Amino acid sequence: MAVGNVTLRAPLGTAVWSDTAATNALVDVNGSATSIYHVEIDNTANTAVTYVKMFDSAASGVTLATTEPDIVVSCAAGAKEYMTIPTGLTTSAALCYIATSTLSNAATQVAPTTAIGLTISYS
Amino acid sequence: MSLEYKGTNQFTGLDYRFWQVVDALTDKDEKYENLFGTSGKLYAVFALNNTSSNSAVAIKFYDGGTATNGTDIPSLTFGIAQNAKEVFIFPEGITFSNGLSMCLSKYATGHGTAAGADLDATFEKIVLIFK
Repeated sequence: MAVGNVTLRAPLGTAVWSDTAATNALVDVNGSATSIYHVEIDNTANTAVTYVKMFDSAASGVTLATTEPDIVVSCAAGAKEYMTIPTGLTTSAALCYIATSTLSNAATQVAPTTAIGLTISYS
Repeated sequence: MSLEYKGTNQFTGLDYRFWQVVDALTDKDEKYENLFGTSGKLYAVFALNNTSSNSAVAIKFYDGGTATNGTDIPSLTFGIAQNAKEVFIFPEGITFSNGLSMCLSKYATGHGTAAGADLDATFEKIVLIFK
């Protein structure tokens, strides 16, 4: 019998960010370059689509309606959504996010009727 | 740039598409509308941006049968780094209630709602799994 031992690239990241009530206020996750490996969105409490918008920036550097989101993931009404990225999706500077029912990049990002659950596995 | 249908349905009930760039056009105004001709869910994206001369690329998916790069707002978008392969898996599927359309732009100027600039080179391959 042959044996083997393979070193795995950390596929799930080194930290898990959890927000039980993500809404239309910008939240910082990490202040430096970030690799995102997994995202979970819990929109089961809402009857409308919620968009999680992530920015390659600290929250202080984001101006809504001016700063374009780098990542947008939609979650259908009453649903949970999962996004797994085995190779990691990298931001170069930082990572922050907002949760909103507004698709457009408007100055006013409407809050989901009920704040959503959001989990991000990253390193 | 254009995409070509390369594969066929491999599994009962699963609409599987393999798309590959087949020409050298890199125009940001190229768009791929209603790729599957129906509403449904996107379960995976495999993206290869391996052409070394190509800078990072923004992939933008629109929930609609049509798409205008720089005007319409993507409901799912992310970037693919230079000379990289990326895999995105959505076990529950991202819902596209009105059809799935797609645009590509140079990432630095074309992520989000911006049309951005033309790509530096062809985006090599993209595979979408949609049902």
